[in-house]
Amino acid sequence: MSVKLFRDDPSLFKTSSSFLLRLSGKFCLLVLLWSFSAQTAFSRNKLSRAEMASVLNVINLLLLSDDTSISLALGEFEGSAIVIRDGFVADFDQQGFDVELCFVLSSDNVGISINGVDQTGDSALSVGENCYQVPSAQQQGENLIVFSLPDGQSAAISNISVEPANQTQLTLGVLTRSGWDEKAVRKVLKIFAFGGHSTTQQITRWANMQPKVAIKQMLNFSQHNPFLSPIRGADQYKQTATQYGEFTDFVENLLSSPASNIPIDSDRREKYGFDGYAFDDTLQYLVTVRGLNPFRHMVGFWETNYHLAVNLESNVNNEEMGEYYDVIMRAHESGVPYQRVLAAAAKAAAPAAQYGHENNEWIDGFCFCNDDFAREIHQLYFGIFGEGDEEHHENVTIPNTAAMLSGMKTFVKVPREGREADFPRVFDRESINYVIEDLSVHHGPSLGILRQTISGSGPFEKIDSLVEHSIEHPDSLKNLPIMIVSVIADDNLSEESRDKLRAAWASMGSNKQFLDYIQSYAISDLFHGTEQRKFMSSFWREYYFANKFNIDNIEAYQSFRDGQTGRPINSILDRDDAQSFRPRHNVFGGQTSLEAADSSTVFEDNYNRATDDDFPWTRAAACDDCDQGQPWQKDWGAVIPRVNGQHSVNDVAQWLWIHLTGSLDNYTPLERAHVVAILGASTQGNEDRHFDLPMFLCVYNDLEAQGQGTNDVSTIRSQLTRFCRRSDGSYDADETRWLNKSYSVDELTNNLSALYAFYNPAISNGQIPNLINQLGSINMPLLSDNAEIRLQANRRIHYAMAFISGTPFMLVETGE
Amino acid sequence: MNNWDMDRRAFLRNSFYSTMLFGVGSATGLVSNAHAAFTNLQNRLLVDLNLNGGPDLRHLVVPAMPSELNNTTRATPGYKYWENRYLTQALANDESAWQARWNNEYHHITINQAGDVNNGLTFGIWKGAGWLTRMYEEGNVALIANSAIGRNRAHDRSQTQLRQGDVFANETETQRSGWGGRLARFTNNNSVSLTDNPSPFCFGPVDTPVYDPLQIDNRSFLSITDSRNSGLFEADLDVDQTYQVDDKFARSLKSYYQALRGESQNGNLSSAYEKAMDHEEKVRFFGSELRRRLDFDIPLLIRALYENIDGINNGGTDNRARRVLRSSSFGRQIRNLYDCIATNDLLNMRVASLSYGGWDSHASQGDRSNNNDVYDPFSNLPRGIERNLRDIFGGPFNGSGDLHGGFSALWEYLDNVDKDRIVINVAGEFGRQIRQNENDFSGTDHGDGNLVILIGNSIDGGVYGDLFPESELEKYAEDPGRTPDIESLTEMDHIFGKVCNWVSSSDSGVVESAGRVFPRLLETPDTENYPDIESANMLDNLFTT
Repeated sequence: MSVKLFRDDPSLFKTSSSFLLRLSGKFCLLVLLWSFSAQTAFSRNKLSRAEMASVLNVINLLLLSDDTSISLALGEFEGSAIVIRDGFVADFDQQGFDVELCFVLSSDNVGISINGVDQTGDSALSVGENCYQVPSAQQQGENLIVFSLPDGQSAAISNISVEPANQTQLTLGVLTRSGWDEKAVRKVLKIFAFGGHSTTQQITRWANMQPKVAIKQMLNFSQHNPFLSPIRGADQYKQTATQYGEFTDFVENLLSSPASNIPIDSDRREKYGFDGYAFDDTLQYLVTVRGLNPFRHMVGFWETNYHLAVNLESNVNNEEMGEYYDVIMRAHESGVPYQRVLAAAAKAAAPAAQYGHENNEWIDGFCFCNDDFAREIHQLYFGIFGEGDEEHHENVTIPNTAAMLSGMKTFVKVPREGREADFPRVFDRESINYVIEDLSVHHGPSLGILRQTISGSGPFEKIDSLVEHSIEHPDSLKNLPIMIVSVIADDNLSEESRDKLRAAWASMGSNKQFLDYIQSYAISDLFHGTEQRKFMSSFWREYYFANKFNIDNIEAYQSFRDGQTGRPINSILDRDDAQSFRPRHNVFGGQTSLEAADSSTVFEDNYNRATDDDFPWTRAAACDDCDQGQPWQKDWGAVIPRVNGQHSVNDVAQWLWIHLTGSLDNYTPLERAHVVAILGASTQGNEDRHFDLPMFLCVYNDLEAQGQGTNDVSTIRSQLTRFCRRSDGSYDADETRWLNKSYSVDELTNNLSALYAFYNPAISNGQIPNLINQLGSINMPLLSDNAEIRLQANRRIHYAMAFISGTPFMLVETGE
Repeated sequence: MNNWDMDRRAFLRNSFYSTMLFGVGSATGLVSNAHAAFTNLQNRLLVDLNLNGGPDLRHLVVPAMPSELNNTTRATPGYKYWENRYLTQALANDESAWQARWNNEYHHITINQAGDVNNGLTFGIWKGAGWLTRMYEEGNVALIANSAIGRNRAHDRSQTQLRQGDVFANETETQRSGWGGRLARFTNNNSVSLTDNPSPFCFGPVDTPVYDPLQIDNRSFLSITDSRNSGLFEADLDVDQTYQVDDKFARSLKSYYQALRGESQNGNLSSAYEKAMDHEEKVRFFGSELRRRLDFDIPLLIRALYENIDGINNGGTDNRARRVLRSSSFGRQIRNLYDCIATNDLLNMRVASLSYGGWDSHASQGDRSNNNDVYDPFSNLPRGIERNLRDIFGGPFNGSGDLHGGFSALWEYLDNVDKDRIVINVAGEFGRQIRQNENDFSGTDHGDGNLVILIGNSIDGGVYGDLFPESELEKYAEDPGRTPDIESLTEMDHIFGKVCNWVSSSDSGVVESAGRVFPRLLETPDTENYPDIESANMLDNLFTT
């Protein structure tokens, strides 16, 4: 008997309540169980967690048993696992367009046919997510997907959906499940959340979800996002999982507070406070401390350091900066249209101090004003240049905007004692760190701005009135959506891409939701296409790398220790002339991605950090007393997944490469050889000496030259400190040449068409691939009971990260 | 060799061979740079200084304040300037204060040139710019009035236009060639950015297979931010490598990049990584070569620009040693420039780029400090843009006792061979309005026309264009809501085009590059696309050679 199951209480089920299942004989029993639990719940008010779990387990067991078919409805998503056996059928009705069927499969013993056509070869099923496009022309009235398994065997499928094969969001073409994979998820995290802190498992979960659903979970403005920034169970410092989600709260009550439980000495914390000299170093903590929301703070960083930049090097003080940051982010979090976010920013003290309109006064029909913000509120906030209307823009809009900004006071002016008669007058300012309206020096009547009548009793109301026009101004519609994406996500926007972004932005009408725009773009074909290219500014590079390097909050908190624990950020950014809250281009923003990419100095410094200074890489694996007097050790073994119970060098190398670069796109035999050597070519025993690829092969060659040649890596490892050594005060000619040798891809893969000119047994014996493979099969003792061995293994992870950090792949994110 | 076919390998080979051919320097004549490693300039050199922020150069070069005041003199451009700018000069609304400032703080110059639009004009150069004044009096400074760079009053757009030498450039299209890069490519040399951040002015065009200034090819672009500390870390095989963790790091990456370059040449690497590959190769090569060549001390006056050198600028209550410049960054750029001139044969340099920011003087434009210790580099006293001007153009003149600013210090160590081959081109992205902001912290807002300043031994010194046009008088009387500018009359194509022609030429003959760098100059004069010029041919004699 086929029965439709209606799900009355969605909170007990992960997925849509309208999903239809045909079950045989289980419905009644299910209802009975549900009634029992409901009665129990009503009689005792609430089931305990354990009781609820028990009920769910029974329900799931029933759901998972003896299903023979599913009817799939367009757009629905079934997350629960379904056990299938030979002959299981999924069906969906004919649609008038191409569709995409996707599901996650647990094992590889399954075959599939679609409308009678067996899917074989490249179309055969595999473990993990599988997607099939069924073109409209190939659909039938009832489309049948039949699963075949060997007799007596079963498998589980989950995350089942049928969706249109071509989808849009805000008019942008967006990825469907077939294009949405772990690489796409990592790309979003890298660009929009400085990499985030998500686990490998969470990334897989997102990759197996519908992108439109996953992106809402990944990118939102909540103060805490446990999916994006979870805190490991072993981490001692968990308070940020539920508290300190706003900038001023974080700085005042956690980071600089003598009372908070964080691994920063009390006497060091004061400097991060609003009166402290290191206030501008605080932003990095918001991005790297786990438990918060790195997407939220990416946007906060971008708004206050780029789009709506103000500068502590000017008249802006720390309190004004903190207030500014929170005002903007609260507006974002509240979900108001974006023009309201910009209005909130325009009414804050920081811009008034930055641009000087805190001194603008309308007195006796004359504007004692400067037109700095009067120009930049249009240009920088909204992208309005007055193109095609320059005369009016310069001679009406801007002067009138200056008048609109009159009467916005952030301080009380007190003539300096003893200099009251000076002219120009000299004032001391008593800052109040927010704007109060002084209507006595405000231009009260309406003003013509952008050829609109802007009214309001004071500057605040006038600003609120103005922004409603600004957001729909032709210049703004043309420029603002590009300003957002070009700084955050893409240096390579073609005119065609720009037009698509403009259309997406305009499609929201007057209710322009910044988050909707970002989410749509983040899953769009544009962002995930081959033309996308984003060079990493020093900020993005270092915040991202810190989030990849650190695994615990102690590392984030102790970044000030210049590499003794955690990834040092501020010293690196200082060297790159990239300081948060002190944008190098003042109100035009901080270091651009192209500046970083075009700078040989930035490249040089990054390269030399990966080579010249081993201290941060070596020391940051453990400490004796950095954890408030207690020792601490890095635990990559708990983070890097095991495969078949092992941490093989091969698997660890691949995981690290994906962890840092986002995919295996550029992981060729060349990269593999170097990373595998760093991880695997260590001395035996305590494994306290690692060897790079040229040096490892130098040892191999020297063994050969000395008549003790061997192709066994274990034997070579036992000899690493005895061969290819300086003797008589220097390396001999062969050793020097071997140490300086650069091994090409052909040499590493034995793909040689010509003899190598010089004596190099590793090449001539054709043993390099074999040696690399042997190194790859070594189990890294990341979980060893021996603390010293475990420490050295963690250090080699860092050494491999040092290598990867120096490659070009860490300096740009591209879809090419 | 075909100018357009040089690839990267050839570029490096050429640099290396030029080192071998020319060897170490052979300074001629009386020089204060006499050390073996200094090589005189092989070619003419453009030194471009970008004044980022829209500099008010009418604070540097001002009209005369009439000594006698009556209805007539009060209707002159000179009086009107002081009447509408006294706050920016940190003065009270007091004519005698304006006269005192004019008399005491500006060096007076009267133009006597029959037939010239400025004949009879008296103007002043601020005395804090002593070196500039000296050079002007020696006939080596051209002040080109009413220059048009960016006419849109937007910093980012106008800066892009200035760097690219393109009045149609848009601030979103930053990955295009700069006019300095195009000039260097034309002459088959390199453009060198000496600033903290690589200057897009130096970006080169694509020229193979087809010349395209809208695309970038930076094979002839070098960025040197610290000439004395450049290069990639390398393993030292004089040390036992077994225990050298950092050497192992270095060896891995060096070996890796060499192999990756092979992959790139085989087309196996995305173009997205070209910039990084280019940096690795250039920094490795030039870093080691510069370390080898620059084995001499940095000249004292240059070092004093950015370091605290005892005996040069001692001051303060404890008479401590202080650097000379407010901007140590500019001082280091001067040092970089000096070192690059010294090694110009290695670097094959034809264009060098400097920058100095902090000109956006909406407020506090003048010196309101009431403090005479103008050489205290650490003070935050409000000195407005005068500290910038002093840093750049300051120097001793007429026994003033002023310290050497950036260019002045450099000039002390160059011989005439080099001085004859350098032109310094100083410009900002736009000027400022002719009236001040009427509030207590007065400055000026974004404007239009401005001065461009050219300095060099080969410059035919003087003023080009109407320095203080009578037509500005009516602007002073305009509605307070209007924001009158200095009218821009001569577009940069003409000015910088002349500079290009001079730089690309030599004592052996004229080689014209202007049309290649500024293609609008190839249009028919007086047509829509031809750049504006205040009067035809006014710049024809800008250079003496």
